[in-house]
Amino acid sequence: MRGGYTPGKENAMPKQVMNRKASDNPYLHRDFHGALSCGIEYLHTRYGEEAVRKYLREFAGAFYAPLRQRMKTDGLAAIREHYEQIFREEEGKVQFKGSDTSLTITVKACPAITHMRKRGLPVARMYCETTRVMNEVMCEGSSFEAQLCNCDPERGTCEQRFRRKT
Amino acid sequence: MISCTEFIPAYSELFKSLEKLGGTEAVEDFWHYLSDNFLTNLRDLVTANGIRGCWLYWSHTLNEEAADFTMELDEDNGVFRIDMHKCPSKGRLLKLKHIEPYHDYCRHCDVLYRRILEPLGYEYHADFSKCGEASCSLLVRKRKYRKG
Repeated sequence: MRGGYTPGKENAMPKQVMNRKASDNPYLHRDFHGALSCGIEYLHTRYGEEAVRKYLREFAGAFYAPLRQRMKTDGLAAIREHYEQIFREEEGKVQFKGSDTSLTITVKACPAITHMRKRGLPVARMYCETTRVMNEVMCEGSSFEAQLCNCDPERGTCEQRFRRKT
Repeated sequence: MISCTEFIPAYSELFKSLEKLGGTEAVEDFWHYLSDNFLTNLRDLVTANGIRGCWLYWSHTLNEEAADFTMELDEDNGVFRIDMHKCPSKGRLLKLKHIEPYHDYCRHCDVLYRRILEPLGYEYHADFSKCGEASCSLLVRKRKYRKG
């Protein structure tokens, strides 16, 4: 009986239901940065620095295979488009400066570090190695090389440099 | 920076790396570590709010992950349920043509959450029989204690 009185149920809480389709929300779960950081710290503590680098190399080699392929044909434009999309989605503060032979990405506020600091999540000691290793692996097999400079994990700033090999 | 939108393949590949280093035990050790050190927000929410804490936790995460799901909370009967019609994580892994998902990927959900909820007095039941289709369900129920 809808709306009827049920003895003993005066304070009953209604059942709550939530239905969502994938298209209802954008895919952006920033806490995943904290989970990755936790994974890197665990690997570092348990198996050492080289295990972290090996894992990152293997992941980047497999996952960025299509991007590495594009590097061979499109050069630095492939890297630039990749990072422009990522920093746009994650609302990072960055500046891109480049030509056909070089590209510098100045990160003024890394979205991952900014989020982890805001949420009080620990930033792994080797967290910035994700960028260094990833960029090096992306360049492998191409005529370009990558360098990570002025990296400050406290402030979430760095310079990612790519240039044609001499 | 590995984007948070690229985390799931990075996570799956981490399980593979750990398995190479120390077998299934190494992967499970990591899941325990992650549960104890990273999922403190779920533990805190359930401790403070009872079974509603599950609703609060997954309302946040599943919406940010753009999941396709139905979630139900029946506080009077101490029951919380998720029917995951399309898991965004497993779904993404299955879509990637150039990466093979870790063979036991979905089990992390069982280990991570069970480890938090059972010590807090809840039963945790998960059905992963359709995880090959990126679909699963989980049921959390307040454990009933017998008097005497």
